[in-house]
Amino acid sequence: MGIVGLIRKTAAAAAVSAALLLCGCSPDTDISKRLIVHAVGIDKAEDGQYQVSLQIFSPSGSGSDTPLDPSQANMKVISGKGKNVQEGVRECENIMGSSAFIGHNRLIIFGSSVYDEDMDKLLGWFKKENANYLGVTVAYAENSAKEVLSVPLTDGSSTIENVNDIIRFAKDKGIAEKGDLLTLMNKLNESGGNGVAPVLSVVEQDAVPKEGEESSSGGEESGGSGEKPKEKYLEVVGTAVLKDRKFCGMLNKEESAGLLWLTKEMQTCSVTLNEADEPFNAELTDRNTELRLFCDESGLRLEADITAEIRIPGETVRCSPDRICELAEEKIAAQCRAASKKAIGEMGADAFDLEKLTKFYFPQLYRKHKDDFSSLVATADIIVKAECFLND
Amino acid sequence: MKKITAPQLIFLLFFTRGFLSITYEASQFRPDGTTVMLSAAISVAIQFLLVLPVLAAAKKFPHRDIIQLSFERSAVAGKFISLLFLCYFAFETVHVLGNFSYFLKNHFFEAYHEAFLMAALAVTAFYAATLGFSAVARASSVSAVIFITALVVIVFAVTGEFDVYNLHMPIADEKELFGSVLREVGDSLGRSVELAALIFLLPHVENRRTAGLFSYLGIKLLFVEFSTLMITAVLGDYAKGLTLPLYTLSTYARSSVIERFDSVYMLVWTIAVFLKVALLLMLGGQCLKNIFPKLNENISKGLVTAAAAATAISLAALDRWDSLLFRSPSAPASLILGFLIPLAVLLFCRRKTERS
Repeated sequence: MGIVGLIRKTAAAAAVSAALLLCGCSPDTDISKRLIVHAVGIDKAEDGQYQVSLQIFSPSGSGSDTPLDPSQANMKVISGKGKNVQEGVRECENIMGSSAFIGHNRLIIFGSSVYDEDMDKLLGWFKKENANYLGVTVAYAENSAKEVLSVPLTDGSSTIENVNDIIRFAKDKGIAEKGDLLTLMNKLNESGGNGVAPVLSVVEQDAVPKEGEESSSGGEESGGSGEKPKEKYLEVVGTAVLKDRKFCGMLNKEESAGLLWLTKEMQTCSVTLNEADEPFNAELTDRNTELRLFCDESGLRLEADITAEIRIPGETVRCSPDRICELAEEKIAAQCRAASKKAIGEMGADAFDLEKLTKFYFPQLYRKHKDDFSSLVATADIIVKAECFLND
Repeated sequence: MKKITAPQLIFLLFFTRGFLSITYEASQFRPDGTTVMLSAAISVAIQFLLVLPVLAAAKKFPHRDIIQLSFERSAVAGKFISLLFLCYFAFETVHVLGNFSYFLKNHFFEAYHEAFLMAALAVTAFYAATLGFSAVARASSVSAVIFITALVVIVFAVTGEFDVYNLHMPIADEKELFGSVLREVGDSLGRSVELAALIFLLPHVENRRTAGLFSYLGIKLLFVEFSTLMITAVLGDYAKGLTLPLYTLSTYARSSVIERFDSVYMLVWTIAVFLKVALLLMLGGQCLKNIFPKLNENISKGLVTAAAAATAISLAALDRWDSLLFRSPSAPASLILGFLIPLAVLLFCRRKTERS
């Protein structure tokens, strides 16, 4: 064997040996010793510290063949306090004696106690964590974040799947905007520190008896007092609007629908149209929305041309098709007006991506007003032209 | 010596640049995506002009490179030029090894041992280097298929998040914009190690050298523009603060089959760094052999490997690796080695031919 052959073989042997022998030299954490975090909730405790609640994956098996029982919530919530989010998470790790893995995190939720806190600061730890998914949903809670995370939802394989399904459903049905981390961070970095996120609330309802259970079993649970047992559910109640990186108010479902139309995020929304005191339900589906931004002496003007399809689900409506279209158009315009009145008029917040549109269409104008863009937003005018057609 | 084909040249050069492009295309000044796209177009247009002397030399002297031509003119000049190229390629090898290790440690897995990783990469690349240009070029052709497939998959997975409004024009006045573009063009030229590598590679290409080279520049422009477009349109202004934007894009990508594409990015990134280091070691070894002609070719490659790996490992061990400041060799280095030296050698050789 020549010198070249010897060098090649030595190099190949060294490379293979290094790959095979050294891979065990690095310290790593076994998956069974990890806290698989599904959701993170942030509240403020009475002592001023942050209370971080982690909803972690905790499978409840029902025998060796089914290590994961889908009829169970398959989760556990642990909380830790700290001066910042990172400290709170470390505290949770200390309680459980395992390190947290945030790569499967699907929700970051902020409780009502942190409405006044700087959102960008609260999200700082998530930005630094490389394992964290940028598309994770960010939401606000009407109650405390811990309370929301503790609601056991047992329809899917894990609770978090259901929470995300609830938020996605609300977005698809035009009830609230779905906030994700990346979109929110981009908006928070705008000069006005804007942002929108869904708001979740815990609602209590009478428990539905499970199959095979006697209806009286609930009574036993409630101490035999005859009271029906209650079950907790989650509901998306609206859209939180942020300004200066802080929660500044909430849009209700009607206003949220307007927001979705004006940001081209609307898919379908259910509305009640009213003709001569005879209300009927209709489903409006966005077919095409065009947004145009204009700038004149009076300020910014956003013009939205909305084309929507109307579907009347299983009802006989007395009024003419033209009248139905007219009512739907009025409804869309009213939703948009309500959204702009609340977000711009009352809160002075840019919930409609005006800053982004201005950067795109009028970069020079944006440069001129970069430092006081909020004043341009406050005087912005929104004009909506809706055109609807009936689906036969 | 086995020759390489024009497509192999394209892929080899592409990986030489591809590693940097998929790491971080812009300078540490973090400009807007549109500024990067504009600068890339200007930079590639300049590079079309810069490669002309090398192409002219390859056409006039098809079987000899610039170094051999300079040796024919003067042995001292030849050795001096070889030394310059050796330093440049060795520096770039240290830079690539260190960058790979730095980003790996800071973005993927903080607990691994940098020295082992850099040593393993250097040894593997050295082995590839001993196989010669032809073997590395063939490997780059195969790797290109993986590279393109992976990128197509990532792009498809983020298409739904494409937001055209993120592609706003730079928010800067004319003077500021001009300065920013100029800086980015300089940075882009400084990263173009392939301008110098071309000098050594072109004599190994069997045919269609001009077409191959110009195709490479076109593909490079297309790749930089497209990747920057996707990064900017999907990630928005958030991309400006990132150290590994394409990696972040791959983590954001999601399909119904795969959740995150980190592993796909990692695969492509590792292939790119391996091919780049292998090529640099080959070129460095060739320069060292030009200075010491009696030295065995593989031993010269081994010496370059050892020196580069030892420097990179030492810098990492001292914890002095500031990748952001240590980002790329400067534009003057690329201009001198990739354009001025070939031009000077070509002019001298032409005068000599005319006189004779």
